[in-house]
Amino acid sequence: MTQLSAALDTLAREQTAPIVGWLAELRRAGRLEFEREGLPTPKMESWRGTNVTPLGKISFVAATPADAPTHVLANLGLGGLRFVFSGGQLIATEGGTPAGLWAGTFTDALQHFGDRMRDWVTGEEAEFGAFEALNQAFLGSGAVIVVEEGAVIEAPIEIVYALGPQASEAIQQPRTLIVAAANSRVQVIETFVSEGRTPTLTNAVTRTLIGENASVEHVRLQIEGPQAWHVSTVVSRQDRSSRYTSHHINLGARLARHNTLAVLDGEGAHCVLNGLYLVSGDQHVDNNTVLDHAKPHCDSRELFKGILAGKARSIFTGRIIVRPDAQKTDAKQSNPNLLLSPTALAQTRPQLEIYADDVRCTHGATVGRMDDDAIFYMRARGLSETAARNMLIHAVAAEVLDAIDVPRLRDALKAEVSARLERLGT
Amino acid sequence: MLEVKDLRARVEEKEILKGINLHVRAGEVHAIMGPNGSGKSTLAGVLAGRETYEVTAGTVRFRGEDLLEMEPQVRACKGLFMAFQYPVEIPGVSTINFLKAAVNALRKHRGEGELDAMDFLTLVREKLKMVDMDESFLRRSVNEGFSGGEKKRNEIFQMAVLDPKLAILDETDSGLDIDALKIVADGVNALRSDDRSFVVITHYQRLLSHIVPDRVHVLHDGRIVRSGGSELALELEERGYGWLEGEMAEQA
Repeated sequence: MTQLSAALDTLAREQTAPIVGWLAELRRAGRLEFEREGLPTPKMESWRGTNVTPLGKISFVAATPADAPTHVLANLGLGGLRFVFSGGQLIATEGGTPAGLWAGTFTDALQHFGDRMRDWVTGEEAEFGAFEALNQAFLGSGAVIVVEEGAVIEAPIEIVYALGPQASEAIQQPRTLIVAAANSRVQVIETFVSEGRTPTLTNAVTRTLIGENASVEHVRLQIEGPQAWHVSTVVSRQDRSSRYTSHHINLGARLARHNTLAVLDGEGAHCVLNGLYLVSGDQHVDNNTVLDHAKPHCDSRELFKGILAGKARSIFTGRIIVRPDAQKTDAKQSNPNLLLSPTALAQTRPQLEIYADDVRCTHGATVGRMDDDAIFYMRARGLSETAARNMLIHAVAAEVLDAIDVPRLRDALKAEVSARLERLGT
Repeated sequence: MLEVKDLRARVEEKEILKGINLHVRAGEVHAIMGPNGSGKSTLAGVLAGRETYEVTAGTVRFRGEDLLEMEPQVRACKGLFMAFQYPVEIPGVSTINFLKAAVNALRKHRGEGELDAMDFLTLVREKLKMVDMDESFLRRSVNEGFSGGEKKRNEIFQMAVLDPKLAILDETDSGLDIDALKIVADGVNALRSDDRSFVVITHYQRLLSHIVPDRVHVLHDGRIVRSGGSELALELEERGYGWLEGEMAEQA
C-alpha cells in the first residue's frame, strides 16, 4: 500500500458522511476504481511524458481553509455571482442570484435537487480515468450551477478554488457541475489559485451539460503556485444546436495535467476548445483533449497555443473521434507552440479517428522559435529588440485571450501574461 | 545625408560588395540599378543593419554619424527607413498597433512624449489616403494575407507615417502591376522634399519613369561601374545589362 492509499483511507474516515445512499455508493465505486487502476505511469500511452508517480509517496491531508486569495485574477469584480472556496470549503459568496439560476454548494444541491444530482454527476464516458475516480471517491465539495430553461444569465459567474498556505502536503478535490437547460445562456469562470510553499494537489472535475440550443462559455484558469500539482478532468456534453466555448488558461503549477473530453451529442452542436499555456522554469503542462463527434452536422474548433521558456515542457494530445453516424462533421484542430529558450520542449500529438466518410477534419501543429525576420523588420521600424520580441509573444497569447467574451477578465489576463513574461526577462 | 566610402561586405566567405562609393545629398533621389547578383540587396541590407552581412572595410556616414555603429532600431530612430523587398508577415500584430509602437519609439528617441490616440489616428488616416488603402487594413495583422501590391503599398504607407530623412526602397517595384506601381510612385513623389533623400534600388527602368531620379548608378559585381543622370536609366532599359560584361572585360 502506498503512502497515498494510506492517506486516502484517513481522508475517507474524516469525510462528512453522505446524506444520500447513492453518494456513498458512488464514493465506494470511485475508490475501488482508483485502487484498481492505480496512479497512471509514464509508461501508459495516454500519460507518456508526464510523471505523476511521485504523488504515490505523499501522505496528503485534507486542505484547510484560509483567508480569501488576494490575486487580482481571483478578484475580478465582474458584478455577478461569485463563490470563493478555500481548502475545499465555501468561505464567501458575493453577488445576487438572478432569476432562472440556481447556484450553491454540492451539499446544498443534493438537498435541493435530490436524485437528479446523480444523473448530472455521473456520466457514461469511456474516459473514466484514475483521477476522475479519485475525485468521485471524495465527492461532496464544489459548486453547482443550474440554469433554467430559457434563462439568460447576464453577468459571468465566478468560482474561485483557492488553497492558502498549508501546514503539510494537502489535497483538494472539488467537483463543479454546470447544467444549462434548453435555450439558456451562461458564462462560468473557474479560477484555481494557490499560495504558500508546501506541495499541494488539486484534483478537480468539472462537468458541463448543455441542453438543446443552450450556450455556455467556460473559462478555466489555472494560476496555482510553483509547488502545486494540478490535475483536471473537464467533461462537456452537448445537446442539439448547442454552443460550448471553453478557454483553458494554464499559467501556474509545477505540473498540470488537463483531461478534456467534449462530447458533441446532438445534431448541429458547435464546440470551441481554446487553450493557452505559458510555462517556464521546470513547469510541465499536459493537455490531453478528446473531441467526440457523436452526431452529424457538428462543428468543432480546437486551438491550443503554447509559449514555453526555461526548461519547461508541454505535451498536447488532440484526439478527434468521428463516430460512424457523425456525417458532415467539420473539425479543425491547431496547436502552435513558441519556444523562447533552447531547453524548452513542446510535444504535440494529433490523433484522428474517423469512422464516417463525409467529414472535414483538419489539424496542424507547429513548434517554432521566434521569427528572426519579423524581429529585424520591427527593429528596422524603430522598435528595440525586447519590444519586438514582446510584441510577437503577446501576439501569440492574444489570439486565444481575445476570444474570451469577458472584457475585464481578458484585460486582466493580458496584464498577467505581460507580468509573467517580464519576470522571465524575455 | 548619406556618404558611403569604399564599402566592402561579405556573406560568410563570399565578398559581395567590393568597394562602393556613394554620396547622396539632402533632397536628392538616387537610383541604383543592376542585374541580379550585382549586390543591390546586400547594399540595402548593410544600410539597414541586417546582421547576416559582415562589413569588412569602408565607412558609411548618415547625417554626419557613423551608421555602421548603430543598431537597426537606432538607424530607424535617426531617420533611416527601409522599404523591404519582401515585407515580413507578423500574424497577431495589428498594423495599427505596430505603427503606433514604431511612431512612439521614434518620438521617444527624439525626447518627445507619446502621440495621443486621436492625433495618431488623424495622421494615419491622412497617410492611408496617399496609398489608396482602406481603413479596415489598419486592423489586419501586419502584411498577413496581403497581396504583393498591398505589401508594397504598406511599406510606402509606413514610410509616410514615420517621416524619415532617408528612405531606401529595395526593389519596391518588383512584382507590381502598373496600377500598384503608380500608387507607390505617387506616394514617393508626394514625399519628395528638400530635406528628404531617397535611394531607389531597382532592377527595372520602369519605376524611374514615375520617380525621376537625380542620379542613376549602375551596380555590377559589387561595384558602381557607371553613374549618370536620369537618361542613364533609359539607356540601360534599351541595352539591358549584357553590355556591362563586355565593357568590364575591356577595362580589365
